[in-house]
Amino acid sequence: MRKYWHSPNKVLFLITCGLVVFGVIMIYNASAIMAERRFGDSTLFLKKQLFWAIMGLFVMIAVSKIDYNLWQKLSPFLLIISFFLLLAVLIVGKEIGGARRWLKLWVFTFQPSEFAKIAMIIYFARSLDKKRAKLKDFKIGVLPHSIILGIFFGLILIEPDLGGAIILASAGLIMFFMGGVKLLHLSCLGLVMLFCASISIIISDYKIRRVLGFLNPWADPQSKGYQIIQSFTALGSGGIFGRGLGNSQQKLFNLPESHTDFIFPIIGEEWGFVGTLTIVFVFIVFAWQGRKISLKAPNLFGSLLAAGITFLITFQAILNISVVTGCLPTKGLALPFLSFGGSSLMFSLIGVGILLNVSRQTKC
Amino acid sequence: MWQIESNRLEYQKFKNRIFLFLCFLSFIFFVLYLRLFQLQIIDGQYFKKISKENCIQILFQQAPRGTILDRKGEILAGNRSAFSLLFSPFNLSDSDIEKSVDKINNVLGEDKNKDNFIRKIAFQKRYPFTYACLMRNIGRKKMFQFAEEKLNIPGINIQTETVRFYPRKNFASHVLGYIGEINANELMKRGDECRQGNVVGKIGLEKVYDSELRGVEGGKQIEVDVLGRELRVLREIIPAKGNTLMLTIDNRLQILAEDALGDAAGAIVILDPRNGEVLSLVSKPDFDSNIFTVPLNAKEWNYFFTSPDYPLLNRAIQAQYAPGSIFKILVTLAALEEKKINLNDTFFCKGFLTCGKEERVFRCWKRKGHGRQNLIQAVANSCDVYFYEMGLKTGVRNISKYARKFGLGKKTGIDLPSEKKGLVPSPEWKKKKIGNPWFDGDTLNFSIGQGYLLVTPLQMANLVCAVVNGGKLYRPYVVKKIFDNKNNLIKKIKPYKIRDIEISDNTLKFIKKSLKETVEKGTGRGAYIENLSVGGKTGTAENPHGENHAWFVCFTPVEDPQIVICVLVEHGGSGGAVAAPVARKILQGAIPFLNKGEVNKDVLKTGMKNNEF
Repeated sequence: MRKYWHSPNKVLFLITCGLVVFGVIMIYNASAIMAERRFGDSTLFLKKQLFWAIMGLFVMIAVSKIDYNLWQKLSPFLLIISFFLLLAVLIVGKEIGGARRWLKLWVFTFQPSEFAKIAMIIYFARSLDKKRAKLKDFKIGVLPHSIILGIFFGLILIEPDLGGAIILASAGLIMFFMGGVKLLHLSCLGLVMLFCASISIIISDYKIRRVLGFLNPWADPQSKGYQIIQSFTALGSGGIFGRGLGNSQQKLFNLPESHTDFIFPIIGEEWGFVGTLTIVFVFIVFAWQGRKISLKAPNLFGSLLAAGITFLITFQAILNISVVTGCLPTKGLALPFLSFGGSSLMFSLIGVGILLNVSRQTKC
Repeated sequence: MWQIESNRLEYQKFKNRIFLFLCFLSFIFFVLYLRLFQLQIIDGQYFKKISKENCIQILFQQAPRGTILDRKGEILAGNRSAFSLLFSPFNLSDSDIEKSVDKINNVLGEDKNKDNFIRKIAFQKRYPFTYACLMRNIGRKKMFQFAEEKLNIPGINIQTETVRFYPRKNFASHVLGYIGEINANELMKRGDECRQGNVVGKIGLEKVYDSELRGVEGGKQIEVDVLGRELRVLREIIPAKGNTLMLTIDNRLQILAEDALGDAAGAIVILDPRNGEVLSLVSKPDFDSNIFTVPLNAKEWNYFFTSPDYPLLNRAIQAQYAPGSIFKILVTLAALEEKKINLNDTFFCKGFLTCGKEERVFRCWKRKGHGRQNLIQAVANSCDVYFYEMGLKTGVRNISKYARKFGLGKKTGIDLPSEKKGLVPSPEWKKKKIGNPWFDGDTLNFSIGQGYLLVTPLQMANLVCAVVNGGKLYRPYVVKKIFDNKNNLIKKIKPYKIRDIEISDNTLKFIKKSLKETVEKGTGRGAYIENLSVGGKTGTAENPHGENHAWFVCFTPVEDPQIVICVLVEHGGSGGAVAAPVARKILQGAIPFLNKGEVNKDVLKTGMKNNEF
């Protein structure tokens, strides 16, 4: 079997490594002064991210050497483990800022929703492949998947992690679409999810404030719109060519989360429009490579898997960039490969590892 | 190759869907490009202006720490406002800074701080938008002077801050503790909660309950002009005061105890045997907790951290001593409960006892000997020879067993930090740690509370509590209630019973009787008060490094004990002569407390003076 494998998609491999390395540099750059001030150690975040980047790249290469069809067999276990991790995080999770999203394992904190996304995509790819003949039948093709997707969506939503829940739901919907479910069923499902998400926004005060801040950030620059205005200021003051590496003003305590969810504005401030243009372009190339792999995969499972993972990563990037440019309300969403955070980076790289393996087995 | 083997139609459809999907993504990417173009190119100049012209400064405002009250609501630790002189070096050149510093020194009327100021400012320059705090607590008069000069001295600013204030100065300083700027270690431990420069509790309740007391830090983000004048507030978070602690400590009993001990080094613990509440906890030498709210000078630092007096050591829970004869209470109890001795058994005390092959001599404290003694006399006179004999009969294992049952050799679990656990020796322990087998001589030492045995005053007080209340070993505690900053009760700490120890009624009755006898006719006469039924036991712990330590434990009323007092005077000498009179002073003042929960005001002269705040 393995002897028919060829070398993986080099472009995908190179842009992933490039993004990770650039991310480490930008995280250090954005966090150094804050880390020194708050923790007395300017390299605190650098060290952590570097550790995860190296680990993650190794894991990515390892995963790219595992036949992706193995995930098909493991799918039920992955789903069950992921379910229990999501339950566990609600019970024993570490609470940060009112949300239980992290599990503490020894010294590592781990975000089960990141794992859930990958597990869900593998499950959908397998199941839609198996039932491909009956997908038009609502009871067989749509209902079982929707129930499982709904449970996971709910578990993540009550953490609360609205961003994570939306990503998971959209990934599920896109997989349905790719698999060929009736558009009518799909749109009904989409509306239900949208309804749940809106309810969760309405019942929680802080999310309402975020939405209001998004609708008109300038109305009350002191609180609601504060972060987004700082984000605009960062992006805007970058101009065409940027202030140059290390010269961001906004990272100096003006822009909160400038090393995690709001790293993109810092990139924009230091590298200008040219920099942001390039980053977005790199994600487009990423999506294009994903399309290529998906179309040439040796079986439908592989095609769906590749499409799902490509979508997952690209869509997270789109959402993050939309948030920081004020196109969408603020929510906790990392920019894949670039934002600080071990779980997010690790699972994104595992995803790329799977993609790379599919690309080793492509035909024609 | 599913593209070929399955019907081509299916593959074609999949291909179409991928195409549709990519169109969707492309559309979004296109929108994002437009948005970035708008923000960075079209509005770029505008945002550049904002970023350049707006000079933003961040002012952190530490929340006022929660109040600490005694059990009656008297304030033991509060806050007062103080003025701090801040300096923002951002925008200023080095020569401007030096000019400003000279002007500041002019106002202050002294020059000694110049280097210090320059150093602080240079440090702060690394963090734009923030202030260096040049001087805390500058006083009202200087504050007004600086306010007048503000325009002439670019960079300065005055901030009102709340500063921790202990109105009673040295009062219960080891219980309350003190606060100080967070260090690197603490920062690592409490990463998310604290920021460098925060003030946290260092010892005592300030440390244990720091999370309750610290409140939520606030801050202001302000826009300033080139002269550092505040233009407008961009964002402000009002700090929220910390929670209020109500203690079990009774301030009048505490004052009484502190006065009774005077200037001697030592400790006093007063517990309520009915529930384990700590009514007083004294350790001397003490300190004024207010001193630590501003940085210490070298002399103070040396005194607090290197002096052999160890003023910061809470001797009531962190110092370990041999208990001496007060341990005989437990030996008596063990012997009676294990039925190794009868109430009527007598031994003859000729002043010493020889033991072992080498005929080692173990003396009684009374060289002449007590003559023939029964158990009650032996307790009252603290006859060592009787206890040697009784200890041998009871055996080291039984004594160890009871010592552990009553909480020795283990932390009591009081809500104060760094408690010591003491040491209860056993043959296995000696074999392991010292390498020798256990000798009978060790048992003799053990049964009069000397040798390897180590206890803290709190452990002894708690042991006496558990004996006189009939075997209920409580965990002593200092904080009784916690209120939030709107004075709603959010937590009430209930007494916690560690275990019930079985003590037969006869044993209990005998022990109380013999201890009463000790105070009335025996070694504890120094604590005798007419018309007050007190039971007590003296102890003199041999100290190889100097003068002996004096112990006294007592409880009153004997019939239904309401308070237990444990006195330790370091290097005091004899327990009967030194520690018992200290306890007597406390008992005398505590008579009204026993009746109505009040303290006799006549004996509170010095206490009232402290109380004027």
